[in-house]
Amino acid sequence: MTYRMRRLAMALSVALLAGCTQHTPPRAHDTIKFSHGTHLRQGTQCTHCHAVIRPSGVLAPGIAPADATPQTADEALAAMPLRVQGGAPKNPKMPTEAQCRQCHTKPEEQRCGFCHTHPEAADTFASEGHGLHFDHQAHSGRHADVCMRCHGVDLSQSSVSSFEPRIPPMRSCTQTCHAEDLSALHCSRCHTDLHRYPKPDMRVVRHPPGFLHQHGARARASDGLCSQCHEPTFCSDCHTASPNVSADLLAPMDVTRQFIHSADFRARHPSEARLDQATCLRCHGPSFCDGCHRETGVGGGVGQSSPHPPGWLDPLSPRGHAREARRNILTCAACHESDAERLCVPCHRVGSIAGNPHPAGFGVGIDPNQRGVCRVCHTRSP
Amino acid sequence: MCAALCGVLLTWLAPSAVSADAFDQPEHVVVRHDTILNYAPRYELRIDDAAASSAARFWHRVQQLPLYDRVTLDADGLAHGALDVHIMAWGAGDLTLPADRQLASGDFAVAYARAKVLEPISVWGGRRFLTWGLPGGLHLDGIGIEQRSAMGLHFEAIAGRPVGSVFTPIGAHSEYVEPTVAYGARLGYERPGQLAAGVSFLERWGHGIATNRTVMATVAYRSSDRLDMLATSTFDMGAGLEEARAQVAYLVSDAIEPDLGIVHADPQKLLPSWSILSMFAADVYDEGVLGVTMRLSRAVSTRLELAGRRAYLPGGQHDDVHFGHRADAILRYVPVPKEAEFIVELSRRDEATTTLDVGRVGASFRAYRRLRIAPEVGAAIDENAQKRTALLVRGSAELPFGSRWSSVLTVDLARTPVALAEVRSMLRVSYRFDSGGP
Repeated sequence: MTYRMRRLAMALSVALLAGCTQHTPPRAHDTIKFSHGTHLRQGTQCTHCHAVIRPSGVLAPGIAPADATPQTADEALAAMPLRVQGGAPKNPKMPTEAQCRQCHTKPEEQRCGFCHTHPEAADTFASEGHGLHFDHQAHSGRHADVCMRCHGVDLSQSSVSSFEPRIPPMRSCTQTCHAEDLSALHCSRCHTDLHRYPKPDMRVVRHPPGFLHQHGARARASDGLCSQCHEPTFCSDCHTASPNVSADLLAPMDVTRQFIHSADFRARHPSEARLDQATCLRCHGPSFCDGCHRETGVGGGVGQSSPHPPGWLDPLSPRGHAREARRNILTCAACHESDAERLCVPCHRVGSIAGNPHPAGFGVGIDPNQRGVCRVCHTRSP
Repeated sequence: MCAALCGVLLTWLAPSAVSADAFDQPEHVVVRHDTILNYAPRYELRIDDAAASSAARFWHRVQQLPLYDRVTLDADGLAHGALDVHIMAWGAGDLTLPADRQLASGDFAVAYARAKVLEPISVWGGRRFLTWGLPGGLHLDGIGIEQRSAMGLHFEAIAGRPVGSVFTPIGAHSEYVEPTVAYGARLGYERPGQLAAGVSFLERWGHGIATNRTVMATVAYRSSDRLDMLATSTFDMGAGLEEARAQVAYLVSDAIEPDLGIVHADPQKLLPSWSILSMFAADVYDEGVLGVTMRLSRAVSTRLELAGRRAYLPGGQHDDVHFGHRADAILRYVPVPKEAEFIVELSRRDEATTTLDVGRVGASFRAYRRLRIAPEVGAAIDENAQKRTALLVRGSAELPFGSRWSSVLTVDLARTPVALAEVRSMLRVSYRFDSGGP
């Protein structure tokens, strides 16, 4: 390598390292310092600040409505929420700075840092985004003790100083007025989007490790519940005749999801099929195995490319097909589903080398017209 | 008595059970689109006596590079909440395959529309996957009627033609194979979070024979956030019990939940009766399972599971009984939000004649800005046949661009029973639009 090339390589390396280590300082995240308890203790009503929530829409005496038409430019600026000038506030249920300033008039309360944790990047209240359709006015109109009924505690308790409103749990809705909505799975009446909830937070549905093995039974019992979070096409990501791309390869970043066909299942599927015979047939049906095995040349007859060991057709051989078929008939079905009549019946019929296939009392209770195998020899009379 | 029963039924079905404003379901549309370029060689077993090595003598590599395109639409609440439409369709083409092989393929995996004709009654038509009816579910081209009452009762009836899948070199596609008609009904009760129970009956015909008359019953019950029970059984009215499963879990504390389960499976009865193979005797399996799930923290959970298995030939001799075992361990780290996630899975399964050890370790984390990478290693060792040992080393990287697009590149290094070493890769570009969120 020439000196010039070495310098070029070094410069590129430095540039690459610099690019990788380029550090963007984290943006200050401003929050509003506020204590509900302190305000409540001093007799402030909830609707003094959360005016838009008030049922009547009329604000308490002495409090200017948030949407009152300002008379001067200063009033207009003061009434305008920070950082959203010209647009809607992030959360219209929250008070504007102008509303706060109507009570907080002392000089020390005029400092930005009195309310803002990061005044240099002052922001308004963050949108909490609970993902709910909720009409406060429709609900509060039904109850006399409006806000505290859902959000609060008993105001007579000493804990009022440290009180912070809680978001009512779902059961407070579904065990009272919305019980029928829960039973009918009308989740979307309240929830705008259930997908946003982290699954560990879902109380009614749990997906612990190993859930894969019971998801079928759970879905059978309650497919309506599954579809509240998962789109109906979600099942078909796996449960479908689909491209030759396994589900785990379609979602390689979701490493904690468990798939039946994970980690190169195709390579180990012979062993898997032997271990749990019912697993494959539950979804695929014998014709699926048959089709693939024929396509790849595996099976479909005891010919030159037969995968069977020597002595396979010898009924006395310990490696004969009879023992294996008894142990694992689905493995036979993987290749011989469509040609079983041609392959099995010539030997397994009355008078042939394998003898009478019917044990004593075989015909009792069997309708030959309801069994495909019977029809091979016992054709239906017209 | 009959009149009273009809009265109860009519009351239950009465449209007034849920007020008309149930139609006011907000519109929610999710569109997904994936374009996938997948390089994964296939192998065909052909005898080539002139080949130098024994491997080359039998297995012949077929290079292929198919391009897949998949579109998914889930639209709920259309027409003022009265109409849902769900479609998943895919198409594939491969110009690297010889002209006499399948060059193009495609299919509708799901395509149905559901209309709420008279709340709470809805009807649907099209191609749909049903979770009930047969073990593993049922794909059906047909029609159905559903009703979910405010009491939690749920009734569903379906009729149509079952859809099977047929393999082709570039993708299995649906086809009408064997079964010609299926119809059935399901009755269920649901109290979300506490009780879900259902019983269904499905009759399936093929080759002029009623091949399945399957009754499935499932109960899932949870009491006081402590006791969790799940029981399901599948019974064919002609063949008898196909499979049954029961599991009881008890939440000892917020962190520990042991469970006990039993499984019975008669795989031979899962074969449809038109198949000649359904007449041959095959082993029946009984399994007892003891497990424990531990939530070590909000993000870390683990599960240990031990199972003993007995396989026997019904009516067979004593020496036909063989015993096996299964041991599974899973450790999972899934924080909220998912900045990084991690899993270790180990499984050992022994069935007297076959022993398989499977392990997988995977992680996914943000490497740089929006770039996420996911390394994964998997291994499967068949102790009875070392040549069947399979190894997989996978590296994936995902880079979102814009708010709705993402690209994923996956490279696999694999050792399989057929190929001692091979490289596969997949490039996927995905788009997701969700009218209800980002």
